[in-house]
Parts: sequence; C-alpha cells; structure tokens
Amino acid sequence: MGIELSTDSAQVLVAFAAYLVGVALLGYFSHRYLTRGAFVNEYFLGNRGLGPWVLALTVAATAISGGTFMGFPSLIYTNGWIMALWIASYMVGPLTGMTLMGKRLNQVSRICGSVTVPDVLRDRFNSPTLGITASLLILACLMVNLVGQFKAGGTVMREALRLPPLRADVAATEVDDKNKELVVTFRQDDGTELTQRTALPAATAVLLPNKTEIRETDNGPDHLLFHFQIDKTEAVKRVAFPPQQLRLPFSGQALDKGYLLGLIIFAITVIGYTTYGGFWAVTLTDVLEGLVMLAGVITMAVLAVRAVPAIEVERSVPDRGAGQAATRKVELHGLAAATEHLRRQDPQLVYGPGPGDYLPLGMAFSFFLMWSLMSPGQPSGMVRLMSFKDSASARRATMLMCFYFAITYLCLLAIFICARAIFPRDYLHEAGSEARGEPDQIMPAMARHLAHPLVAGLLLAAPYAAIMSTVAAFLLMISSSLVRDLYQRVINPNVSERTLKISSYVITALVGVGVMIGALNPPRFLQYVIVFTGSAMGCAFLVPMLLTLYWKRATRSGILAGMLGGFFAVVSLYVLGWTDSRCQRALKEYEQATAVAAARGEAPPPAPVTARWLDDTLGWIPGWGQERHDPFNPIFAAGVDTLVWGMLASLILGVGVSMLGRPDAEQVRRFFPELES
Amino acid sequence: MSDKEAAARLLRNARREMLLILGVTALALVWTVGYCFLHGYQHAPDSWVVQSGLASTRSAEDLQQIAGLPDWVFVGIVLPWLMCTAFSIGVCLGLKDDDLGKEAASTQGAAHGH
Repeated sequence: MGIELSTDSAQVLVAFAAYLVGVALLGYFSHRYLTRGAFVNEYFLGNRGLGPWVLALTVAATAISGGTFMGFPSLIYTNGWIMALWIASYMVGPLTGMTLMGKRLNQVSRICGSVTVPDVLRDRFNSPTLGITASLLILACLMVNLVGQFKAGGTVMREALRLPPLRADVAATEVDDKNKELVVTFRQDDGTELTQRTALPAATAVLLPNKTEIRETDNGPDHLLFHFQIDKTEAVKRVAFPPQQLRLPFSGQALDKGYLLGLIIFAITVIGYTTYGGFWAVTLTDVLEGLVMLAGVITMAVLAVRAVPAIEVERSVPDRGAGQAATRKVELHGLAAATEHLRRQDPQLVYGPGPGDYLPLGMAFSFFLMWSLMSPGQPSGMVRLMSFKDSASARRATMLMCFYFAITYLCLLAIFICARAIFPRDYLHEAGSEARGEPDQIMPAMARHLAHPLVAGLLLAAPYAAIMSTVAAFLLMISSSLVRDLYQRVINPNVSERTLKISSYVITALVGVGVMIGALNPPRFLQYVIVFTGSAMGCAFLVPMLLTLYWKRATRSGILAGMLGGFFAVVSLYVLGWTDSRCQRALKEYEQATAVAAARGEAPPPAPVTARWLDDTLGWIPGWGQERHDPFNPIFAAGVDTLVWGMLASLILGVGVSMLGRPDAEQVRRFFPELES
Repeated sequence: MSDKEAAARLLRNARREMLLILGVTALALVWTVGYCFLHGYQHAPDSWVVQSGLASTRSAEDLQQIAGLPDWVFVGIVLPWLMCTAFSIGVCLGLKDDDLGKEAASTQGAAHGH
C-alpha cells in the first residue's frame, strides 16, 4: 500500500529532509576522524579534542531533550507563568554543568587514561567492582530511557508526516462518566470496529447531541468536532479519525502506521550516523542540532509575540492639572498583552503555585535542585567534560552556554505563554482537558499556526533535533559500557584493535535496533520510568563523582555505598508510592463495598488483609496516604521530590562509609598531588 | 613549573571554583524560590507568611507588569538570571587557565592499538 501525504506535510517533510541530509553528511565526515589514532579513544571520546563551540553546543544539546520541546511547552500552556520558576535554575546551569567538576574530571581521566565514566571510578579507586556496578547502573537506566526517546522521535516524525487517517464511519458515541472520557467507536468497511477514547474537555462538560460536525481534508474525513456545554459556555472537542493501522507479521499486533514509519526514519538516521561516525558524529551533529534548536526558538518567539491579539486595559495616569490620578485606556501588545490575557482567563496562570496547586514550595525547591544539579550528575554529560582539549575551551564554552540556555528557555516561556493567549481554553478543550492538561500537541500546533509549512518544518525539526542528540549520546554511552567497560576491561583485556572496532560498530547498531523494537509498543507507564531513571542516575553519580574528584578521604566502599544508596533511595520512593496507591485503592474499594453490602443487608466482603497490614506498618512514612493523581507517582516525603532524598542518602552513605575505612595511600598520592610551596 | 606542581595547582583551583559555584547556586536558590514564594504566590489571609508580614495576599487586580512579565517573574527570576549570566561570564573571564596534564597510556594496551 502506498503512502499518501497531504501537500502541507510534503512541505514540512522537505524542511525535515534538508535537516536530515545535513545530519547524514556530518556523520559521513566524522567517520574520517576515526582513522586518526587509537580507535576506542576516538570512537567514544573524540581523542579529547573538543573546542569551545563544539563543547558548548554538545553539552547544551545533550542536556536539552525531547521533553524540553514537547512536555515543557505543554506544561507552560497548561500552568502559565509559574513554569518560569519551575525552570529557573538553568540560570546556574552552565556553571554547575561545566565548571563544577569539568576541569578536575578532565584531569583525572587524563591521569588514568579513562575513556568512560565507569573507567574513571574504576581507575581512581583501582576497583573493578566499582566500574562494573557503574556500568550496570548506566546500562539499566539508559536502555529504558532510550525507549522513551525513540518513542518521542517517532511521534514527532508522525506529526511531520501526517498520514491521512483511516477511512471509517462513526458507529457510536458515548460519554464514560466514570473516567470522564468521550468514547467514539468507528467502523471500517470490513466491519472491524476501533475505539478512540478522549478526555472530556472539563469534568462538568455535557455533550450536546446532534451538533457533531465532520471535518474533511483533501483525503476525506479527518476529524470530528463534538460540542459540549461547560457551565454557561460552549466548548468544542476534536476527535481525530483513527490512524491507519499496520499489522506486525509475527505477533499480528496492529500499530499506528504513521508512528511506525516515523520511528523507522528516526531510528535509521540516528543509529546510522552514531554507529558510523562515533563520538565525532554525535558531537558535530549536536552542533547542527543546537543551532537548529536556537534558530527554531528565536524565530518562533518573534512570530508568537507578534501573533498575540492586542488587548485594551485601563491604566491610572497622574493628571497634572487636577493633581489626581485619572484612568486612561491603553492597548497592550506582544508579551504584555499575553500576560493580560492569561490574567483574565485565570489568575492562577499569573501567580504561584499555578492551577491545581501545581508547584508548591517544596516542589519549587526540588526543581531548582533538579535542573541545576541533575544535569551535571548524568554520565552522558560527564563524558563531554572528559573530552575538552584545554581549560580555555571549558571557560569559553561556559560563557556560550550562558547565552544559549538563557535564550532557549526564556524564548520557550514567551512562546507558550503567547500560545495560551492565542489559543485560550479552546485549544485545551479541543485537544486535551482541564483536568489532565494538554498532551504534547501544543508545540506542533503552534509551529503550524505561526509559520509557512516550510518554516514550520524547520521549527518542528527543533524537538526532533533535541531528541536525536540525546539519543545519540545515550546510544554511545551504552555501547561504550558494553564494549569498553564490560568486554575490554572485564572479559577480554587483550582484545585486538580490529575486534574492538567491529564490536563497537555492531553493538551500537544492535542496541539501537533493540531499543527501536522496544519502542514499537511501549508501556503506558514509560514516561514515569524515564523521569525515574533521570533522577536515579543523577543521585547515583553526582555526589559519588564529586567525592571521587575532590575528597582524598573517599574510599571505594564509600563511593560504592553512595552510588547504590542514591539509586535505591529513589527506587524505594517510587516502589513505596506505587504500593501506597494500590493499598489506598484497595481500602477505598473495601469501604465502598462494605457500605453497599450493609445497605442491602448482605454479609460484608472479605477485608483486604495485606493492604491493611501495609497501611498500618508503613503509615508513619511522611507522604504515605496522600492523594496522588497517578498510581506511578512516587512518595513525595515532606513535600519534596525523590531526588532530594536520593542525594541526601548518597551523601550520608558516601561520607559515612568512607570515614569507616582508610583510603589507599598510593592512589591518594597519584590523584591528589600537594603544592610544594 | 613541574607536572606535579601544575596538577596540584589545578586541583586547588578546581576545588575553589567548586565551592564558589555551590555558594552561588545556594544564593540563587534562596533568592529565586524565596522571592517568588513570598511575592508571586497567592497566600491565604490566615497563612503564616501573611500573618507574619512577609507576604501579602495577591489578587488578579494586584498584578503589576514589568517588561510584559508579572513583576514577581521579573524580580524573582529574570533579574537573578541576568546577574548569574553576568557573574558566570565574569568568572570565566577571570579564571586562570590550568594545564590539564598529559594523556596517560590507557589501562588497556589494545585501546591504543598495541
């Protein structure tokens, strides 16, 4: 079956294709570097040759992920100005990301000839256990994370492709009051039925019968518009016709054809250039991706600010003649108009903690720590710090990153504050719901609304670029963990250069293909696992690495305890959160069932013994029993995020266990030289 | 300067820079989160921050704009962001370059093609 594309999509695809050709060319040219010297050093670390521009853009592009361009815009659109506080700690991001440990990490990795983060830990303490543990933690966390990134890549590409939907008729429409969803059943020509479930625009929304409209494009019916009554206003809900399906040959599973095609294009490009070009391909494409992102947000910010409808306000101005204040009508434009629109829509959009108590004090504190300290705690960022050529490069890169982060994040804030002013609640109702917010659609919607399809294609390439750079960095990290940390350093230390070379290419490609298969039908709770792995890795590596680099009293047992302590503290809070959700649900259901049985004069149902026992035993934990919107949310003990507890656990265990032992005197002399005068 | 002395100098400088950065991060956290909480959050009239006089209740009509932004965003976030950027650039211009040392032979010979 051929692929039908709309004209609009074709133009978007031309822009996308131009970008992808650039990426492929950089991958091709990077391959030439690989013949210069030692293969492993060149393939995984670029032979420590990064200058300031490449360094700044590669660190920034790796830190900025798909979430920055998909999830973050959606959060700004839903929650308004409080998101400025949510993201504020990027003001110190360049300092913490680059200068906190950059120079020293680079020096230590040179002293021991380390190529990867586990290498550094292993060589600094002369401990294979430490190296293997670090490799396994990186492998486990990054593999899961990569599945999510691949999914995001496939989703963006599907948006660019925009395949026409399935040809089908509407068979039935009903409102699921329990789940607050609109359920539309479509019937294909062969009689197969498909169901689309969409959140109601608001909890109080009432469906207006006989007002449903079918909207068509050149390719036939595209989506339905349902009309709802919300209090006294009318809202429209958009329900797309189901996407074209494709059945997998062996499992028979039906998949969205657009997503599958998008995923394959994404996977081929990113696996191709990473495998072929190694570290240099990843960093050089990071430069291109970083520039595409920067150009994208600046262009979009200018267009968005200009697109905000002007609004009139009354301002008091001093009347010089009468000596009293008088009111005068003033017309606001741009960002000022957007802020005024938001204030009139809902005052919670211009004040903290935001709609639905989005960012209470404890979480504002947690997010400040998250963005400023979790980025330097990621092993993918640490590898970049091991690869710059001199300290002047690091200094200049820090300066460049200051401008890069400030422009990117402040522009993103401005764009999606304007988006809320341009598409008020209508878009929230049309595409998402007031209760659940807006799914990751506002970014593509704004790109298409603001610009010509060709420019929109380039704007859409920005999130694609962000996802690509993160994926490439992670792919190389996983490959280096398997090839260098586990195979070369544990299984076969005398492996030949040729075998290393072949295994590096093969492993990188295989990991990519494996992750792509995992992303074909990822589990619903994947996004939580991704958030979890980011926090867990940061908590496992930040404090232990700082102690490794700066504290001569640190011991291998202390660092191991700090690493595992940070990791398992985060895991425990997630597991406890999930357990708590299940317990509370079981207890609530029991209470309801008991009440119903009593009303009917029947015997009460059997009590949930395990849930009750767990609730009695674990009820003392701060945050236990708190209502959470999602069963996969962790326990926010004392109102702060898991990363605060993870870092505390890592610090206490890292320092405490180190104090119980003695460091290796020879290693201390090697890594902590004293000044003679 | 000997290699050992250069390495020791780098360690000393890196340690100082680390402490400076942690200090600046703490200061930025207190300013940003503290100011925004006190001046950008809507507090109940009987909350402790209002009762103690640290914050006031803010209504939709109270909102002031500075450069198109809510006043608390400008003073609590944009201003410290500009100051942090200026500070970062100042620090980077003021920092002395250190010798990162020579690349040691990799622990595994094969990595260097032996």
